[in-house]
Order: sequence, then structure tokens, then C-alpha cells
Amino acid sequence: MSFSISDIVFGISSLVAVLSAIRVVTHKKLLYCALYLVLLVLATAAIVLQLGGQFLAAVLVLVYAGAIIVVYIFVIMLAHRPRPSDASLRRLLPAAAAGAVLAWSMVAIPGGTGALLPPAASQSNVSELGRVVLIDYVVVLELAGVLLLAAVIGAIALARKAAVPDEQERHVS
Amino acid sequence: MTQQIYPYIALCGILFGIGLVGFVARRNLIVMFLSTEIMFQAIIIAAVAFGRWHGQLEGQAFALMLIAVAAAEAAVGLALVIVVFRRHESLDPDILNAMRG
Repeated sequence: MSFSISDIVFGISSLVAVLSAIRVVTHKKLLYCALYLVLLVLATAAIVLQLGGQFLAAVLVLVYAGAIIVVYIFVIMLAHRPRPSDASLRRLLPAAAAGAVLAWSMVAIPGGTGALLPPAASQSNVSELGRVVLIDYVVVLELAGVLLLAAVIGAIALARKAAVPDEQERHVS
Repeated sequence: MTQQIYPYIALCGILFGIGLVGFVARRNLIVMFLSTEIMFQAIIIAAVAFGRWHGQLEGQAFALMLIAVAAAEAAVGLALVIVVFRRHESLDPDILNAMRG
């Protein structure tokens, strides 16, 4: 059995993804958890690129590793107070059982049910992806935009409303 | 050389399981949200792999929408984390038991 280059790329990046996901869950320092999540996102982008999604891989690196993780790191800097340990052993056993059952149910799907089709003929599929997103699913795209706007407004409202009563309480007491 | 879809689905299951374990076992709000991000990565891999399997680009389009949903979830969730930290000076979700029956 011979391995092609894409097989090797998939093997290495999936190994990196699984190991960094384990480190995200098990690391004690929150900042390192976020940085290992950056590594996981980069490995995911490599897998997506190997599957033929050039634009999606670029979006993953830009939006996920560039924007979302930065927000996480901001919040970790703002709101973190170190504690000795926050892993709850009482919950670890049922959680590990549930995760193992779920992972096994996916792994145990019988192999060889379908071969992947060869990639599209053109070198880059950005224009076809743009046609799908902007013509076939334009309503979904608009809904995603409305959802993002609502989420950002909600986040601002949440963070502001909570600040005012706390300061009043502090002034009273 | 034809590739199978099976390793991608297996990787998706393993990553989702790790994220689930982290979400339930860690008692820290930020790590819980980071675990949901692990699960988002698993689902993105699955969506793209299934889209490739069918030979269509809908999988990648759905993955783009997933990224938008993940960004919205991060914004609202981290605003909630800030609010909780201001009120209780802690990130332990077990202190949020005011609505426990």
C-alpha cells in the first residue's frame, strides 16, 4: 500500500489536530489553551485545504485564528484569576464515557462506504463557491449577517448593562 | 488514487469527543467555550468532507455559515463571561446556581 502526498498531509495534520485538542482540554494555563486552539485551527485549515477548499482554509486562518481567538485572549487577560485546579474528577468519568461513546459511534461507521470524488477540474474553486454562496444560498448569507449583527449588539448590551448596577452597588456600600 | 471519507469522519468523531469531555469536565467558563470551538472545528471538517463526497460545494458554503455562527457564539458567550466575572469575581460555573430548583 502506497501513501500519496495528500495522505501524508492528512495524517500529520490530523495528528497535530488531535494532540492540540487534547492539550486545549488538559492544559492548566488558559492562555496556553487558547494558543493550542490556534494550532488546532491551523491543522483544520490544512485538512480543509487538502480537501480542496482553498477559500475556506484562508477564511479559517483569518477569521478563526486571527479574530475569534484574539477575542478569547482578550477575555482571558481581562477576566482570568488563576486557580490551582479546575478539573472536576467527579465529572471526568461520565464525561470521558460520553465522549468515548460518541467518538466510537463515529469511528465505527463501516469503512469503505464511499470513495471521495476527485476534485474539481479548475485549480481554484473560489468563483464556484462564490456562486453557491451568493446566488443559491443568499438568504442564508443575509441571515448569517443579521445573526452576527444581533450577537454583537447583544454582547455590547450585556457588557454595558451589567456595569452600571455594580458601580452603584459599590457606591452604596 | 481514490481517498476514502472514513478517516475524516473518524477524525471528526474524535475531536468532537475531546471537546465534549472538555466541556463537561473542566469547571472554567472560558475553557468550556474553547471546548465548543473544538467541536466547531470537528463539524467544519465533517461538513467539508461530506460536501467533497457528494462532489458539491454546499459543504464549504455551510462551513462558512458555521464560522459566522461560531463568531456570534463567541461574542455573546464572552460577554456573558465578562458579566459573570464582574458579578462573582470567579469563572466557576458552579456558582451560577440561583435558578437551581
